Amino acid sequence: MTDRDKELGQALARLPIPELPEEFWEDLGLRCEEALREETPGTQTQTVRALVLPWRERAPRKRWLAAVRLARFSRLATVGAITALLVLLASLLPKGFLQPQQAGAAIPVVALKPDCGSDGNAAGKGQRLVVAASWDGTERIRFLQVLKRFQQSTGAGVILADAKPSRNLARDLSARIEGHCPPDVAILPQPGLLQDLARGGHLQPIDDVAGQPVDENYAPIWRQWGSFGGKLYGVWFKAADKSRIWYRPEVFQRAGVDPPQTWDLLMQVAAAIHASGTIPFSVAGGPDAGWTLADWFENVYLATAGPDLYDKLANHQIPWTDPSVKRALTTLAEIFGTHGWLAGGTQAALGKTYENSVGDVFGPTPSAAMVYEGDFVANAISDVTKGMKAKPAVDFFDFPAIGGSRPLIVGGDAAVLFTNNQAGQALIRFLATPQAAQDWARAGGFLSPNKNLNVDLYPDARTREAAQTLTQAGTLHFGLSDLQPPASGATVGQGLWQIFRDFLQNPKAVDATAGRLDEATRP
Amino acid sequence: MDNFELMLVRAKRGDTEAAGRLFCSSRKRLWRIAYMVLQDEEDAKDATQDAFVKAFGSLRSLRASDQKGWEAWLVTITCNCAKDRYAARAPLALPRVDPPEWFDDGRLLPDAQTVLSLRLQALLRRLPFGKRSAVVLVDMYGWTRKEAARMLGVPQGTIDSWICDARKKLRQALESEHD
Repeated sequence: MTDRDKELGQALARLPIPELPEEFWEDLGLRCEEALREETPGTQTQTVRALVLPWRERAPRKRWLAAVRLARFSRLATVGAITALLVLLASLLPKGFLQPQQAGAAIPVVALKPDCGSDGNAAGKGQRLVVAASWDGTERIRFLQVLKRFQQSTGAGVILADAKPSRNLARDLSARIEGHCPPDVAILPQPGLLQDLARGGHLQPIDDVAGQPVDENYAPIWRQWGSFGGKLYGVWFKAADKSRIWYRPEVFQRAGVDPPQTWDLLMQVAAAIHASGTIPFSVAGGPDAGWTLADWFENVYLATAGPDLYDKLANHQIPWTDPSVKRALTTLAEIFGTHGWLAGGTQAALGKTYENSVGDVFGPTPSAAMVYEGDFVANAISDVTKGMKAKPAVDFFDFPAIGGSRPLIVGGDAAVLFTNNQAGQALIRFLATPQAAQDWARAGGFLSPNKNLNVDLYPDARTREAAQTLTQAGTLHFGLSDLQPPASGATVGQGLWQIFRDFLQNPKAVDATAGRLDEATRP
Repeated sequence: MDNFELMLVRAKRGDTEAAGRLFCSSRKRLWRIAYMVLQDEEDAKDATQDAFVKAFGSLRSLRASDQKGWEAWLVTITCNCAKDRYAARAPLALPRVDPPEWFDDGRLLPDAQTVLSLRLQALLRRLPFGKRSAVVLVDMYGWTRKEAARMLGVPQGTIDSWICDARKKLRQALESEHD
């Protein structure tokens, strides 16, 4: 290499390169961790301690440095030094810091049950905390970031309990309760499940822990949904606007149609899209996806029957054999029962997961124009478009009005406390504050029921609007199936969710379906 | 086994702490390479993300056990991801070089270093992807031509001619400075 070449290399090295913010690296670190987790599924140990790790740049812990220096000093000393150090650490540290595979490199570890909650009393530093949630993919990563923020402020070592995100949280939690191994904190997606667990005496009342921030930050309806028998049990960390239909704008353009405002227009739009050669809807009705069908029904029911009947139905004041239920089912059958309107046909829909239904519309090989679900579809879109070079255009419209009224079905995720763990109490309190919600709000695919969260953080105007409705409206309607006790309402493979799957298979069976719904929901 | 090799072994076993350290030790370098070869911030961010996720998602298939092997492997993945991003880039508009705000208004005369950088950057952006990558890997990061050929997936002869051509073009920036 000549001097001139060297000079060139030096000049290149001096070119300015932008710095990336630490958040970029943290986010990427979590993604890498997910990738690694999938790559090494056999090793359970690293999955349960997802958070304690240095994917952000910082000085290594001193203990680690000491071990490394010792190891460098002599090869022979390596094993001995690490073993000695770990034994020392094991005896000195609270058990949350004994990370199984770190020790696994050198010594056999006492088998800790890694994911049971405990009634810890030493708050703050070093406290170990087990959290169970059913989020997956992007949502899981976003939630890990929330926990990370909590961890940074308290030093508590948070463990996300399930190696695989739980598909059936109600069942998993009851198994844990039976096995005397509940988590410290769980994030429940249904008020019905919360009330069921509170009724069984499994939850800690949190009036003293979080009553004050909940009163300060939430509309009364959210406190009501988090309460049982006059006591507060849950903090609604995340809310959902479950009245959205997501679509690909270019398909609408090709068919020459605009987003519809009413159900009749939606039928016309679907017919026009079908005529232009694209299947209008992708519907998820797989074994795990009965909830999306229940959500479809709830929107149609709220729009056709109105809020009064909706509340009566939710509170068992009218039977499910009521004509209003049958009318809603008949309306829904206009979509479920029209030949050629569902991607892959009815049989394929019955095997389709929620993620796949989103993939049908926005994934690399799109086959349909529209998919119905909540605001959180934004997260699934970022999962299904991962690795796509040209990201598809995405838009949504509000669930159309039927007979004059437009539905707004609400969903949400509440944090509940199973143990008297003080770090758990701190987490519950934290989740009731606007600070806990701000990162995810900024990232998108998230709505907070917290009225004191700055709505400017949301990425677009319509999400801001939705957030304002959710936090300020006096009356909101939670999904019907979510309000039922889990055995009859929101459980994979049974209750309402299963009955709606059967209805998807045979949309003509309106009377029979209404009868089965009535039977399943009888208190 | 030294510190680094131990870390690599543990990361391969799924130890996220070790993996996190690997990540931190390489992230800046990877970002710089992606930015240099793509000369576009958004594309470079995407390529960096793609590369890291791919690397940690296939860590067990890495045969190398030392630092140099790990870095070469990472750079190879990064170059591939960058190439994909480059190919996917919408109808190729030449990325502009934005001079600093004070550059044009005559308040402050730019120093020689800034002028050189701007000139060099403009020339670099005019080079095709292959030549740009070759000169970045060899002249800026000091990889051998053989290694660069393997990383970019081309014969060494191609690298030789790319480097020769790229250097000739880029030297214009330096030479007009010497004038």
